[in-house]
Amino acid sequence: MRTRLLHGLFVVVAVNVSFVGLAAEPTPAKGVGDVAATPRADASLTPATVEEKLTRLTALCQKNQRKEVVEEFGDEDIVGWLNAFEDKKQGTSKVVNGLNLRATSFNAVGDRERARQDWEDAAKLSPSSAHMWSSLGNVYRRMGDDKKALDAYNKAFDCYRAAHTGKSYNHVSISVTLETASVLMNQTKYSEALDVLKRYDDEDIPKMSTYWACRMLRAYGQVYLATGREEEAMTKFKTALQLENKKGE
Amino acid sequence: MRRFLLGIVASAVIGGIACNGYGANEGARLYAGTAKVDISPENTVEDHGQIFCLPEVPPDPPVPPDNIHDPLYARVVVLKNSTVSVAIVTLDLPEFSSKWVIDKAKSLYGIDHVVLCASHTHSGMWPRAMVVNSWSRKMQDPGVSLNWPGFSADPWYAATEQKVLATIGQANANLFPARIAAGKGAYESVYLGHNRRFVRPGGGVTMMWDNPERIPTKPADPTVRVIRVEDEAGKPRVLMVQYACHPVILMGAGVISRDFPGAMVDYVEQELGESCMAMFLQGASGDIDPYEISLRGEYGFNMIRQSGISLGKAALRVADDMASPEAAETSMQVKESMLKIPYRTGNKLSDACIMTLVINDNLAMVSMPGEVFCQHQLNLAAESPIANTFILGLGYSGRGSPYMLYIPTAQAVQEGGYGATQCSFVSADAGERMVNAAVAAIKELKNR
Repeated sequence: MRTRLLHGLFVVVAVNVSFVGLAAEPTPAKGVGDVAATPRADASLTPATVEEKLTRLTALCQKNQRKEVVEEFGDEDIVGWLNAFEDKKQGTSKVVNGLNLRATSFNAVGDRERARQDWEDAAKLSPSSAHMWSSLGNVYRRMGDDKKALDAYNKAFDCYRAAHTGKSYNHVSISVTLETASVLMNQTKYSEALDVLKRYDDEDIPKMSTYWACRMLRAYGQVYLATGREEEAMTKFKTALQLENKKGE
Repeated sequence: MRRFLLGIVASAVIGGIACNGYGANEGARLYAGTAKVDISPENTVEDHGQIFCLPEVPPDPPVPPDNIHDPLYARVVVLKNSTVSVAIVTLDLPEFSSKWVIDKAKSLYGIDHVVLCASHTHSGMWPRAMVVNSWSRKMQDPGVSLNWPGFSADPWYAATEQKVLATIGQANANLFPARIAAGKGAYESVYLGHNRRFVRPGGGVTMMWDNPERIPTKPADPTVRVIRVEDEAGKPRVLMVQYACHPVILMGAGVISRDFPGAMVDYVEQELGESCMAMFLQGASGDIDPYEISLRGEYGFNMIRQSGISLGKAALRVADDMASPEAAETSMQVKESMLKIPYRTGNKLSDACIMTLVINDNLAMVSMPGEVFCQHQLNLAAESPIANTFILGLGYSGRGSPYMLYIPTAQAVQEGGYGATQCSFVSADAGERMVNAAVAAIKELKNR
């Protein structure tokens, strides 16, 4: 018979390739931390050649050619691309984009360790990017490091809180909320999980897309089940089904 | 250990003989006795994914297993009036059909009928001889293809047989004047009880082992059935809870556990006090699963607990609404019907024994030796003239095949899927034949 890991309940969304999301991220408030570009060794590296590499990397990812990405760019010094730019802000954006694409590819072929390294570098270069912290949280979780995963998810959510007034219904902020709750559920910290989910209450859920609303409702249902609140759980599960059925009409 | 068990058996025999004396002058006065025993392995076990067994060469001296989450029990209630006696034995095991135990209990204690009812927990123990080959996948009656008496070569199994026998004797030796009541109630759960066979609109079946989104499925039987045995003072002494669902929440988790039935029993006993023994009676669960299965670690342990509490609460709600019987006398009728069940292949016949127990024309229990599909329970309840009629799944009363695997419906066989066209050797109409035999027996016993 099949087995299913608990975190399957909160299906981990595949680390997505959101180029738009990256471009829209606020500019890092601080420097690049301890991710330092190596001294410029390749005189041929220019903004144009970086753009060319990034275009190629993007094209491969869009075609989901992850193995090719790893073969072609696995040893590429993407952080070193920074050296090509006088305008470090512009350079950082390209580097973070490149790191994210490669990390996503490493992750897709199961090389979690190199994915983690790239996302750590990306998060340090772009510490206000919720997307990077979220992806980093996911890879930590898959590597079994729940403590670091929780920390990364919290940073992701804080990024949104800092960048937006009011509540964010962006998928990343909802996703990290669900993932955080899922980790806490696995740790049997049910009341903490419920507290995290309460970032989004009954008034917020209808404002989400059907997909995220259903996931949020079921996450609530799951916490209620774990705490013996069966009637409330039943209500949440039924509401989710009604929403899905309504969407299908 | 063996000497200790023999001592218990001997004292129980004496008790049984002593008890036999009162019946003649007591009319149809009901007596009941209870006992339970830990049947967990005392030596280290091998994990076979869904099931555990002793290693081929168990450590000597024994090394206690380190993976018992909650201990396994056999629980016995003996019901007896001047005309007949019945021992109902529930076991926290996937399957337990020991003809030796039944025959010995009858000969040693004079009990007329014994029914062994396994909960079917997939975190329990099997005799080593059952953890071989793919016997369940063959289109054969395991009653023929497996050497059932040979199971006793397994030290754990042999010890369990001895313990169960002794415990039946203990229950029989501790009879008290009793009254019995039965009831049922709706139980819609988000933990337990979805039909795992999803019949696709275009035909064919997708096995939906779990159902995390709680999508409604059918057929299902969202009913909990309760039997309460109380003493003369009206104090509950036994609460039997019948519900249909595979105990597979912890399947494959690497721990020995009673799964949700154990948590239910613990909760009910906690609520009703130690003097009341709770028992789980598995129903027609052949196609019924919990919504979540194969959970791991503390989360899984919590889920069996919450599921058990949920079922226990539902059972107690039903029990609260059940009136105590006023009549001092209890009628009790039993019939064992032997059926010839054809193989699906049509080339052989298998013997099936359906034991029907009717009490006070208000309660009918029907044991069937296999994993019965839920629709059979619905059909039986619809056709039975007795309000509280239910199937004891995996129930063995000492005759016929010990275990007939899955007993699907004819419609399910047409549709296909696990339990219908896999792991099932009986004819498509086997379940219907069993239900018909049960209905006939109930009508006959009711009119006696």
